[in-house]
Amino acid sequence: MSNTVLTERKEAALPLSLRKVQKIYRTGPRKKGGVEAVKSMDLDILPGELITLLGPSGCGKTTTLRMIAGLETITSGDILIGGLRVNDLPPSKRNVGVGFESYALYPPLSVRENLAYGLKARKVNNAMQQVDELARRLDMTDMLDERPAGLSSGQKQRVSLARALIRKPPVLLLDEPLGHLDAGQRQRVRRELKLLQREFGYTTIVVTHDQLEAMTLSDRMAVMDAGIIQQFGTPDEIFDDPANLFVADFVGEPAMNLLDGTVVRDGGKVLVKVAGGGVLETTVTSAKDGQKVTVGVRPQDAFLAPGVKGTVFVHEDLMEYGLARLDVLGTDKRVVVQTVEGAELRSGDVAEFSVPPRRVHLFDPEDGARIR
Amino acid sequence: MTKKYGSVTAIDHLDFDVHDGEFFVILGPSGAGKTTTLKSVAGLVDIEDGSVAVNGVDLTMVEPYHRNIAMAFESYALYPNKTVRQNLASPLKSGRTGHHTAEEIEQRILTVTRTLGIDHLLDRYPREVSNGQRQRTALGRVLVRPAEIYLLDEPLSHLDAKLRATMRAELKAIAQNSNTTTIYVTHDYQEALALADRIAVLRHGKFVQIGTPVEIWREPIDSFVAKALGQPEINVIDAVVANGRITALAGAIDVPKPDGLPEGKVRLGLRPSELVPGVHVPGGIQITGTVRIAERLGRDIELDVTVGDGHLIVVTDSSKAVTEGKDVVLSIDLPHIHVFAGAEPGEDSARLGSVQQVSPVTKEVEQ
Repeated sequence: MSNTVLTERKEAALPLSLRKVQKIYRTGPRKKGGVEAVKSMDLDILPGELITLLGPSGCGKTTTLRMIAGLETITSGDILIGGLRVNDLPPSKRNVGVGFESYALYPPLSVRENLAYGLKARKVNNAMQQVDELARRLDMTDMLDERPAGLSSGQKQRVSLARALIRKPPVLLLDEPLGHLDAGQRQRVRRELKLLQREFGYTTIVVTHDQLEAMTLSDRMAVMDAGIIQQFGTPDEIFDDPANLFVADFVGEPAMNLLDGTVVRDGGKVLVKVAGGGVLETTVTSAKDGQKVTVGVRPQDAFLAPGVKGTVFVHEDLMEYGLARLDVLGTDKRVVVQTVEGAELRSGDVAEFSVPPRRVHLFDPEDGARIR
Repeated sequence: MTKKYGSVTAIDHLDFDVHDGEFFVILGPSGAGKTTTLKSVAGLVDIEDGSVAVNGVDLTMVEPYHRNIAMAFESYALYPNKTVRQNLASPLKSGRTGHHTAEEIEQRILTVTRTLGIDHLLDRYPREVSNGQRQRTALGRVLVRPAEIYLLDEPLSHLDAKLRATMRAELKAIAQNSNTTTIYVTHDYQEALALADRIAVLRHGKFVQIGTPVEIWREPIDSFVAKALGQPEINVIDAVVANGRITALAGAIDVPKPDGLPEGKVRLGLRPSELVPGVHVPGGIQITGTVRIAERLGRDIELDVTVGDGHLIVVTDSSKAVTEGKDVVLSIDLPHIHVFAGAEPGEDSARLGSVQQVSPVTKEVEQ
């Protein structure tokens, strides 16, 4: 397998920065009211880095991407690409390539012609060769002679992605690039997208609502809610060291278990008494004796051992592992505990779970801030 | 049962028995014929050939309403202007399922909503309950009908990942408590493993294999079934049997061949979670490769490892020290390496056994 055709022109990737970028959608009489979709956002992306903007719908992630692309005006703040302020530049002058969910393919042209279009306009001499190689890697060779109208939404999405990739822009912006693909395909295309991104070195921003997609693709990920970046970090940092309750709860599947607890300082140890009577040890140092907290435990970090008692609601054997749902005694909380292969639990059994102390996270029950 | 749409055969001579109280899951990709199978059982489509019997009574010519079968479709709606109680009562008041007194209806609703954990919401409107509670109400509309068999067509497919997992557990609890006979259709292998007493894997209108979750997982009849369960899917690689050994990936895998396996081309199947980096598995083999990509999946990481002239996908705990670009030694237990017959790329082939033991007789599909 040779990638010579694709690697011959590796553009110098550019850094990208957002400085106090704000977006207000004006509404109401004489546009006095407004919705603040993005609130004073700062973000620094390194040349060649792949970051994702992850969040629920309405969190401002797509608005942010559209402002960078130049498809949306900026209410205040600056966007810098390669150190150059691009606020007032039209999309075509910003050095960005975009793959948006609205596919915008040329209907009368075949997929092959759609992909080659930009290359031909720039008089790239081996355009067709590049199209063939990229199509092979994205598993779409068989659709090259089709017209867009005959394609499924998943296929159109791959064409749209390929068209953004083939132009090798210094900055690549992708909005939910894998949303319409089925599970197996999504995994293959995701892998290839990551390899292509590394080969070509584009600085890349991917918008997604899928936490698994963000975890697997990103060098770093920005978790957004209500127009604010709640945390920007590597997937490891986001998963194991969440900044607050929102990030902890949004990332991870099954979701983090949340229980009410009270801190008990016992000599050198810091313990959390969980509502219902169980006790977990934690490595958190700044918690005060008697402090009320929200205790966060990932299902993958809990294991069956004396600690917190619960009644088994159901246990699902998924062959590689199991998932036990326990109703914590004395509370209305149901927790999920991942069990090892071959574990046998019956509904109605009483079981206990514990957690390694460094995996017991504490949050302020009022504002969700992490207590470290 | 056989059902054709024009010249297209949607389901092709399907034979199956569902036991009393069994949770029977039909697993297959879209277009395999799953929904057609359910509709044929319910009587919503006329089958060309075959028969449907419940409790030994042939229902093939019986109208759907009189089959005593309740079916829920992929998308089911609630009446927004009716309360949860009224929504649940409406299937019982339609007259299509026999006549019920007011007390009977109330009793039925209470039983079902208690099982579903929504009995405190009976006087609320759909807009006043959470998404999950709305889904449970919709499911309740099906379960409230007294029926001998419940047919559920991908009831969780429109939920987001978190809600889907929660509802899957709810369904399992209902199935355990109510002892109803259920045929459940899905394309999600985890739903099948979690819920099924038995799984039937459907492909192109035919059952490829019917068995318990453990049987389907450990001894898939062919590479199609092996790939249908597990995400990321099982690694299937070409191998050669010669001189008493099986070799693959340019010699990176080289093991003695089991008795009874003829020389020639075969394929090996290795599940991503059964390839363990950095640990010596007793009775296993070691495979050396280079980590091309390491991706965080949560607590686990997924590795794409270059081995010889190919790649293996590996899923392992994120505490394992693996670095992109570095070498890694993978271990796997010999009985975990499946052997499939040789085949052209893109084609599926029968499982012959493991590299430790191949079955002397090829198993027949339960038909």
